Amino acid sequence: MRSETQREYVDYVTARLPHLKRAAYLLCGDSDRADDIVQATVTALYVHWQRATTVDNLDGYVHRMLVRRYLDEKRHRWSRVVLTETLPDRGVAPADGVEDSDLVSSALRRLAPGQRAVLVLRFLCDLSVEDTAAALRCSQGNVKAQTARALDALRSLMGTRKTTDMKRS
Amino acid sequence: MFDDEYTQVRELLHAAEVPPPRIDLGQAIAAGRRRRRARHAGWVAGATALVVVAVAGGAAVAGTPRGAPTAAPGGVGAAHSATATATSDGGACIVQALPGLGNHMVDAVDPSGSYVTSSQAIERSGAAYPVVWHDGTAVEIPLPNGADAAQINAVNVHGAVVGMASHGPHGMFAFVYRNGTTTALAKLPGYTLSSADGINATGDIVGNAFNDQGDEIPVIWPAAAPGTVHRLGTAAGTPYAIADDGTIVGSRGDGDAPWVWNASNGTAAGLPLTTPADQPKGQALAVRGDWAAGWVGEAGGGHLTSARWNLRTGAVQLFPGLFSGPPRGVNARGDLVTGPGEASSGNTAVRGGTALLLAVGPYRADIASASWISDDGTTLIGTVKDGNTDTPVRWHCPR
Repeated sequence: MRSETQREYVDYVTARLPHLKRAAYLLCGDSDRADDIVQATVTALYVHWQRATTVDNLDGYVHRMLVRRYLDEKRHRWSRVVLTETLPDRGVAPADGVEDSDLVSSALRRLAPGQRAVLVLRFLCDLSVEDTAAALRCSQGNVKAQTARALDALRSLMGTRKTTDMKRS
Repeated sequence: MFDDEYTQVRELLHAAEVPPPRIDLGQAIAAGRRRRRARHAGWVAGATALVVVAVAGGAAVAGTPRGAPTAAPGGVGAAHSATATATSDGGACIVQALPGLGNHMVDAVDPSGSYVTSSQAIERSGAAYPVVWHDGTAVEIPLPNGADAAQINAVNVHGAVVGMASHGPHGMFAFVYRNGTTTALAKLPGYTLSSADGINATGDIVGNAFNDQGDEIPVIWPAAAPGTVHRLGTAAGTPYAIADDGTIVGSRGDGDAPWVWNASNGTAAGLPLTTPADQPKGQALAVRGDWAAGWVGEAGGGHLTSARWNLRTGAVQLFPGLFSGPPRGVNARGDLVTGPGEASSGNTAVRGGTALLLAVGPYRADIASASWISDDGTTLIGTVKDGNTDTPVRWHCPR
């Protein structure tokens, strides 16, 4: 890779690292694993950088790579012990004094992995239903259904308070 | 969904507290360069790779009879850790696509390598359908009645497939597919959810049952009594695989300690597999012949290390070099295949104690991931992938 091209890569990745970490962390709920996912993603991005710079939506392209890394890891049960250390879907009583930001992370960890992926892709990464379906390799109908279920589950997991009440003022 | 709810969820996700990234960009660039070079190296790749192997507790448990290790979780005494360096066998692997399976990730492979499954191979009307591949042809596995998706977990030498079907966001149940028919497996009273994780040549199936309280118990669906299910022991546990002689491996709880049961004495509590003193947690995920494979980990959660157990002697051996995932396949010689790893690093398979570098051939792939290794160690089946494309492949790796 030429030095100028490499600088473009470094500039892009450096600027996007906090966002990529956020997406990976909300997906897997573990900081070290999130770093591993991001590290693998930006390594693969280096390999494919020339191709990546020609796509219309570079952020979307990178988000898809990140989600593939996350799903690959999940699929192989290495992460099963971590994923299933949380309880099955059930409401979490919101405790006084708990920061909403922590509550969100905690609630997300209790969603099914597919639901979590849909929420992160659609609401954090701003992917369309179509792009989310492509990233997760499922149909648009599936994405819509998963989104509805995930939002239902999120409401119930975050207790009886409505999402409007949970917004940080 | 209301627009303001969209905004609220979006704001919540952006506001969630996230630790700062700890990414080594220099390492990413160096690894990326290595991969680019490896991709350009061509169809056949033969290379040297190193796996550092640590042995723990071997001497302490030598002579323990198969399936009856006497060591408690945590190991016997001060399990020593010796470090040895293994060198590459220098062999070259040739990679070929599996014809007729399309671009899908390989899930389970039977012990003979004849049957290969992929869980999400066919998409139709909003649902993904699994397939089983045999003799160059992929056959769709019908979803059991009422299911909208299915995950394949294992297939035996006769092509019988087991897994977990789901219906709606909260339902899941164990099923078996054989002779062209998919059937839900029997439910244990009081346990509404189930998953089938392993099947042997006889047709004995092992898995989990769950109740509404979230209790997860190990169960067996014995081939000798079709339509029945019974519990393995009385403790919580997760069996993952069953050998042809009835040896069942898994964990107590879900990863609390690696565990072994025997199908011929299904009511017995089973026994722990040996673990190093500082890594008492673990799971055995695969079994074949005298060998089981999985991982061990620290009590607090933290770091996990790939592990292999000799069921005859009870000895455990650690493979810290296999860091891309735990072994998910083991052959009769104790060779291991693990989760997806960098194609250029050789940390995805171990043969004869030596890392095996899996070529990616013309597929421009970064990741090589073997699901199965033959008993003679010369054939592997798995997936190669670049950022967004999976290709199911077979490797031939002569000695």
